[in-house]
Amino acid sequence: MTTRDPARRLLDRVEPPAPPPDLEARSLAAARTAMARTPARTDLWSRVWESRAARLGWAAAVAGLVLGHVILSLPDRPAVHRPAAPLMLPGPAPDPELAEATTLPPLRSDRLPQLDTTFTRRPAPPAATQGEHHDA
Amino acid sequence: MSAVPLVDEAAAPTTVAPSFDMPRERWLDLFGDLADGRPAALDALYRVTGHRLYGLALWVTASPEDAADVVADTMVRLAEQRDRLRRVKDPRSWLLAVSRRLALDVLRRRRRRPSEPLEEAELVTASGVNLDRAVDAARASALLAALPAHHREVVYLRHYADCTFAAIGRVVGVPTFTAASRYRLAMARLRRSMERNP
Repeated sequence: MTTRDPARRLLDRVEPPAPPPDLEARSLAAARTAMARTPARTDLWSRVWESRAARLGWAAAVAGLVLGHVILSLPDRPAVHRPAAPLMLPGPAPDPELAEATTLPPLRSDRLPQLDTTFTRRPAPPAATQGEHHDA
Repeated sequence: MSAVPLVDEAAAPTTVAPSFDMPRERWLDLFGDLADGRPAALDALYRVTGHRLYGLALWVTASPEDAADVVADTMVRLAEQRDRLRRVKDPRSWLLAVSRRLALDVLRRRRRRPSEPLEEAELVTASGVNLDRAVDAARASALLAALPAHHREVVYLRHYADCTFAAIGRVVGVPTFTAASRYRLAMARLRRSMERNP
């Protein structure tokens, strides 16, 4: 497709000059020299990953943590038994007198209650008249 | 006995020959090879970029000797900074930007010594042996030399390096809109110059 823009048409008809023929050999020789002169440097994480000192430090840190965990978890004195409920503490039997006083007597169901707790309506006593009182 | 192909050609991956217009993945592969220390990647990169980098440097410096030095320095930078190449996201623009910076450095150094005038530089040539085109080339060189430097480089990047305006912005260090605006102004100025000098 041809453009109607004369400036573009002009640019299409020409091209930038080619580089001199010896430039490739000169450039590549200089680049190879520079490549040999500058050692390849890897990125930070690769350097850390491949570093012997960093690996030793990491291993020492892990070993220290494990050792500390083991030391702290070892029992350094006899374990004290801590029951969950102190009232259940096994020990000497309580005082028999105190035990008798605190023990409730069992109820017997075949005995009648000694108190009549039934509520019965009793007839009211006859009210005395006023004259009778005077006579009396 | 029928010959059985060792490689299934239909299933074989298609390899793109290195060229300046190759996909970005191929550029990244070449940069990765160079970062791994393979010198063959240098050869491939020169074959792909040498012509374009030389043209850009020539349009900036207007001196074939300086342009050649810029291309050689660009390849040296490429070799020296190979540990950073994996972080480059747009290798083509990166190479053009490095060449442009080196060419501008040459210009700054040259201000202290006399140099040939820009108008006499051969910025473009005719393709093939054709008298009309040779005349066109001489005329285009003169017209392009009259453009401001920041317009001329944008015309080169757009027209001969096939850069998008976004890529031009990355190379030159300006926003995409500014790159497009510069190109439009440069072409308008070129048209006016052609009308004045038919």
